[in-house]
Amino acid sequence: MTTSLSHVTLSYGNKKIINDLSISFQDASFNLLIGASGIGKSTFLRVLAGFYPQLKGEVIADNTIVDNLPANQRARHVGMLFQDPNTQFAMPTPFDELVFTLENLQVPQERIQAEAQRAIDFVGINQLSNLKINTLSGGEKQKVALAVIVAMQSKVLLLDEPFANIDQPSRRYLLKKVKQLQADGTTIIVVDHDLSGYEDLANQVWLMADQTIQAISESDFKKRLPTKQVFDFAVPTRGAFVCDDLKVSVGDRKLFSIQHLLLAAAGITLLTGDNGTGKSTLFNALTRLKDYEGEIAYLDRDISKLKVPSYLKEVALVFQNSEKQYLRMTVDEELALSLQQTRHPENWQPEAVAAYLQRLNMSGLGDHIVYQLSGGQKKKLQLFVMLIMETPVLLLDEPLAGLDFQSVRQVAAILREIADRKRQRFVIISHQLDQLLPVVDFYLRLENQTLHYQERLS
Amino acid sequence: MNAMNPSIKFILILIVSLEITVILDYRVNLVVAGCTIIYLLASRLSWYRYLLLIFLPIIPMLGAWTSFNTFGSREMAWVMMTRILVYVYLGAAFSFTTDMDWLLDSLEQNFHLPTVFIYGLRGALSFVPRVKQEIKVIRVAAMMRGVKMAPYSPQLFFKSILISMRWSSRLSTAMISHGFTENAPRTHFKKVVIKKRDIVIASVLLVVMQLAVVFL
Repeated sequence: MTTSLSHVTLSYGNKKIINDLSISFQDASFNLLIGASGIGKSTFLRVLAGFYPQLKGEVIADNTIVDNLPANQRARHVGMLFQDPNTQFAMPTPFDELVFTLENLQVPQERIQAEAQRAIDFVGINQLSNLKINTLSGGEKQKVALAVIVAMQSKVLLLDEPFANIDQPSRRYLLKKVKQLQADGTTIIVVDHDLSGYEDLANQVWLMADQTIQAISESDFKKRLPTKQVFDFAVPTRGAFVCDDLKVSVGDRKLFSIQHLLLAAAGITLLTGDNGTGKSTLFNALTRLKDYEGEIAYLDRDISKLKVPSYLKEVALVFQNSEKQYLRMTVDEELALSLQQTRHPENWQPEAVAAYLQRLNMSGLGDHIVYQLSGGQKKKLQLFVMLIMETPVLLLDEPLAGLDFQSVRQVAAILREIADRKRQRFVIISHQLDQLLPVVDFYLRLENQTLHYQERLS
Repeated sequence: MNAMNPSIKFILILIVSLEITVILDYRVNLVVAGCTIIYLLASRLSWYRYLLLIFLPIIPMLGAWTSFNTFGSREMAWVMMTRILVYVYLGAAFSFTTDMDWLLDSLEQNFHLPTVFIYGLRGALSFVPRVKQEIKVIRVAAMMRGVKMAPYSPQLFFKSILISMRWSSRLSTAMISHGFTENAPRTHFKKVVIKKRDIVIASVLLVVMQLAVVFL
């Protein structure tokens, strides 16, 4: 059995993404692929998945040339888990999605129920199987997506940053399941920016740079791993928000309730909690996108009584899905809109903007269509246009998802600088703690259906 | 399941509706409306829907009555007024009682419509309930950038089209990566059959209508 690429070249317009690449992966091996964001890792996985049939070169997965295979035959050889959990479902419920997939693969009717159940049991999502997919959290969706691939019995499993939006317990759980698949003979290729947890899992680490991919040694990889530390945090005594007797639910499901909580104190607050506990929903309540019971006051005024347009100039949200943020077509137009509307134009002279773009490695993208940027570039642009707005409070929902190591460091540093100049207060939902913890003032945890501040984390 | 196969029901209602357009006898209209009312009553809809069915046709019926009575003949006015009633009830007999998933399953399995069409429709139907929230999010995203979008704003329109295009390409990626192939054979977990009883009932109803046309 072989999985390999020989002499593959791929360009977007006149920009070469992959240049005459030949690479081969060992059978039933666990491979980690790393590299800066926007370098073409997702594209590489899509090539392997056979999404570019017009390609120069040859793509072999599981001993079969996949780039010309119809989708229903290809699925038996290659399965892919996408970065965006919303990209992967065509049906309303997990069970329907499994049935749809098995029907596509022409599994006989009498075996569909059993095979779907086997996949559900393997990933352990029995309690989710008949819920509506669009009410599931990001981590739950990824579990469902994995179950579909288990049902397809693909011999090669490609994972495109599947853990970018999910909590550590879910991430560890999914990685364990993936490792189990490898033990059963599946070849695993995973792209991830968060390197923790892979040192015991990966057989081989690959680095993508300069339009090609090379293996890196174990010692080289170890140098990139984060070090463990102990962090102390303050507990706020004042906050822009005061929540009293707040209760938030989705449908019939109660997410959390709060008796009394101060939120968005000057500085940076990190909000963590397992998937599906309601972190994003809290942000939606704070920005009036979601109804709630109880009271939320912003600067002593009940937010349900404030005029929405003027309130949203004070409290803004960086959406988890970057495309929701965009209002214009190109990078320059997006920047121009924010520069025109910012509360403090004096802080955003052209040199200052250029310097930030440089730090974010976003220079020279001016005329690119925002929807065609890579996942990481989209995130950085989205964040930057909201920083320019300088709303007094900015809520950030997974701003680091899909960013490479360098970008995460830059973003963390930029947020700290802006917070130190008392220009904006940040509340950040994130699962990538390594770079954030050193710059955070307050650590807020959502668990057991309520929120509380934590003073120490080790 | 005891309900009639949804494609057969669809075809029956389609034939009846077409025939109604060329029949100029209000008594036939009343016979069809009567049969439809019996079916709707037997279907145990909610009170809200029954009230809707009583009050919805009133204004268009009065409109048809007055305009045809004033500018045409009284005979014509009766036909047009009852025709509106028939169309409202036939429409309700289909849309209030048909499970869309079942209809699409049946169209795929019994009538072999292209699967791309079937699953495209399924996707579109699941997208409809989300449209309202998506539009709210667009407007909120705009307000956060100091831009106010009116409900009729071309920008809002443009952005919604963009979102649905992104969504449709995502849907097709999702389908393909889960093995969906255009025109390829698929197996079916829920087999949909057309029972003989359904065809007999549909034929009997059609015959009754023809008898009404001939003898009334």
